[in-house]
Amino acid sequence: MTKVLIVDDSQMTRNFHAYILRSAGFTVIDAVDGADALEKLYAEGSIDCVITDLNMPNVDGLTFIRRVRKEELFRDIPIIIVTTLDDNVDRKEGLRAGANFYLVKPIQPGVLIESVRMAIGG
Amino acid sequence: MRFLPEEVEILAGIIEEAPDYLSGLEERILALEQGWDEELLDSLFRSFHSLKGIAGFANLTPVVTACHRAEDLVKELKSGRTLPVPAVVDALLGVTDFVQRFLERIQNALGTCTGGVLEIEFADLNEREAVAKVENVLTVEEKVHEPVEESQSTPPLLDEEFEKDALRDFLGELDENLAHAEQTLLRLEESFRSEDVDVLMRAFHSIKGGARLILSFAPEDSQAEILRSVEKIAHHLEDLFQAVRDGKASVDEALFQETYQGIDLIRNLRQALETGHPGIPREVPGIAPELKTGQITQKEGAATLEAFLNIAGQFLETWDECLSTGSQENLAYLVRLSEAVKNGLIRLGLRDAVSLLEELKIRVGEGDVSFLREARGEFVELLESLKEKGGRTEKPVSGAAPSAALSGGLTHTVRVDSEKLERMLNLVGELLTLKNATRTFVKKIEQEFSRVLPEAKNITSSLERLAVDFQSIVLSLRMVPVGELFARYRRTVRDLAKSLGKTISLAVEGGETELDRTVIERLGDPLTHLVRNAVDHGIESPEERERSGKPREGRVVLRAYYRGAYAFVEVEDDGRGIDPQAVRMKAVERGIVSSERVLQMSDQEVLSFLFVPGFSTAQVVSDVSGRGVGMDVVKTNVESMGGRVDVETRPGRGTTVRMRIPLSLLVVRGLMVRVAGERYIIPLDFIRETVKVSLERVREYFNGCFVEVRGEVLPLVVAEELLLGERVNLKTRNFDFDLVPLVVVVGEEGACAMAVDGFLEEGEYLVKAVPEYMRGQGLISGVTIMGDGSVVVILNPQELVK
Repeated sequence: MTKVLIVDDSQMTRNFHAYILRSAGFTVIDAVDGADALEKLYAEGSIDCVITDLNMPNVDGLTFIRRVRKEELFRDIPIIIVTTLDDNVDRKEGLRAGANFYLVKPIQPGVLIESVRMAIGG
Repeated sequence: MRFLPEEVEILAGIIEEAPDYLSGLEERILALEQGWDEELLDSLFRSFHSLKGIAGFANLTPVVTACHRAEDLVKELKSGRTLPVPAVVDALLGVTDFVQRFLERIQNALGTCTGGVLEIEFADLNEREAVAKVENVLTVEEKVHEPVEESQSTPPLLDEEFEKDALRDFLGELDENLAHAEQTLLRLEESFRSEDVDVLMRAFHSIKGGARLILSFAPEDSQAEILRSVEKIAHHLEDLFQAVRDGKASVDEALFQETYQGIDLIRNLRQALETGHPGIPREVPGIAPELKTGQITQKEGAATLEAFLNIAGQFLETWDECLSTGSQENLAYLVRLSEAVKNGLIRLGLRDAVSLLEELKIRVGEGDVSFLREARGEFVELLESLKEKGGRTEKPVSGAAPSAALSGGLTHTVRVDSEKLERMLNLVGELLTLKNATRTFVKKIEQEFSRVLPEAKNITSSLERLAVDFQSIVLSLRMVPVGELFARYRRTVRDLAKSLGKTISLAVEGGETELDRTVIERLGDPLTHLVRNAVDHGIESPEERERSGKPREGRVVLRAYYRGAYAFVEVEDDGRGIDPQAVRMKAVERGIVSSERVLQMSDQEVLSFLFVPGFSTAQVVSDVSGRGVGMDVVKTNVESMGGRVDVETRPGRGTTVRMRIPLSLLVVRGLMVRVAGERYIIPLDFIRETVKVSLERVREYFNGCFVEVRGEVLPLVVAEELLLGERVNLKTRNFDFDLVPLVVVVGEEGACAMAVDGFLEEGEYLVKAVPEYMRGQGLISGVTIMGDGSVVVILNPQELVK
């Protein structure tokens, strides 16, 4: 069972992405911000892929990615950034912080699914 | 089960109608025990079939399913297979009982219903038991005999028809619901209104219900998958707006994005449904559903490729950064990213290319950057070839389903089969013909039977009035408010403006103006071109607008109104306008006109160059428009409807493109004239005046004839010459008092006088199309049939003037 963690402060984005990924057979867990996501990561233990927004309250996406990468246990979890077209700087920053690649909104459902598959491999 | 208020009404209708089909059903089922004939079976089949049909209106899926299975059972009997009769009777009675109990439950609930949403619990009615009984009979039988092939391959025609109809209705409704939802969504984006949230919920609710209904007919697997996807998406979207209504979610960009995506997705699935049996063609452009259970995804190949190209693009970017800076951080990232690229290649089935990445990972891991320089070319080549492959399947056509916007989801409408409409129209034609015949007849008897004349005249005038009323009703049936077409462009403007980084509002004026549906259909393309032009070239960027003292937000207006026998449709923008000077220069540059000539032309004349194929003054050729195709398309389309296009522009202030379109393409007011013993009709729209002038005023010059009319010298054509191709010398003709009857016709290129043999009468004529071979250089625009059955040609003065 492949587990994906969706981190986004917009409930609707979470719902929609979760819905798409569930339809492709993934198990989906979601978190409303970086802090929530870190908690869920520790609680779940094994997560196969993280999809995260950058702009979030409390702990933002960049901080979240840096913290994840600091943790030995989570160093190899693929992280996909979901970003908007105009936020070029943060996106680059996110990659440097340790994300694997980014997706630009709006994301076609099929592309989301395929991207997760490529991030996980196998 | 929940029923919305409008569904409750349908329920009441069902309760009213159901007894028609249920009455005597039990007796007829029991009669099976005494043996049966074709007639009995047909009557049973029809009863269940009708019950299924009406239950379908309110999405009473359990009833639909049960009746459908009962139908199947009767079908089996009809096909001549032996079944255990008592069990059949038992099963059919079971279904009947179930339906009856179901309907009773509804009736009781309706009795206590106080308006609003109605909740009815049906779970305890045990639909499964009723259906299971039928299934048992069918399967027991199948175990006794070997599966009988032919009985499966010849289902009764009626049933297939019904299902096809149901699917067609579903698709029609789906289009309406989607169009409606999209319009509402656009409105909601502008300002929040709670009613709109309800409207959206309802639209998605209906889509969901419709999909479920069709699913209950047990369609083919491929269709069932698509329908389930549609149902799921609609369900999800309904939930989204329910959450908004219940205050559990906010209305934000993400919601809109999701909903637009959902709508697009459903639209694509719908496309697949229509074209997709038995399987979806692989080359469906854009998103087509994955046919694996429950998956909603793009056509797999396209999505995989797009996902891969996104990752590979980032990979290449990082690659290049490594080549220029080679920082440790970048190299680490490159290695990390190479994993996903490798996985992508494997998913695309390009295992051969994987070794390249494996080598990259090792070499770069060892700190060997030179490999990056060597292998870059190979990787780029791989990417290019993949992009090229993708280019062919990508790019879904956006703003599809014009019929959706046209069939009307906003106003209360009745859908009319266009074929029926066509037939009615032909009837009107006959009626008009008869009307004319009667008039001729009355004239004839006027001389002989004066006694019955008053009565005959009465009858004639009643008939005339009737015919005219009938005509106007039928013609109005074909009229569609243009607003529904306009609404399509909200999305176009929104998406386009966004992609260009502009803020633009679209205003619609006179959306209630009605136009013939054929006109509306043909307006679609021109409007698309004009709207895109306005957004892309007309409206400036917000910064530029601010600098020139305009509000940041640009404004595009779609406007329609009537004037005289015409409808006008305008696209107006408050952008930078078109500089006549730029048009002049471009025209000379393109060799369309000499530089001497162009300086003598007025600004208005110069603007007509915009319609020359391939002409564009746009400084930047973008993806959107400005390639110079477009304006000529606008002109051709509009002129093919007998209309014309004008451009009005004020540099720095904006541009208005105005299309003038005849109100109806079907009836023309015209003047009948006599030419060489034949009758011809000239549409009044093109006639400026009719005069009789003395032969003396006709002058012949070496290059043609001219005539002086009220002090104005006009070129003169002789209709007979033009139509029959024979030289005619007017001077040798015998005109009364030597006065030549002239029709002064005006076209785009000016006016001219046409000499005819005589004026006959003015009237309204129903235009019938003429076959291509008869059109003869466009001189003839149609024919009409006269009271005596003779055919009269309608001329196209536009060509005459040329």
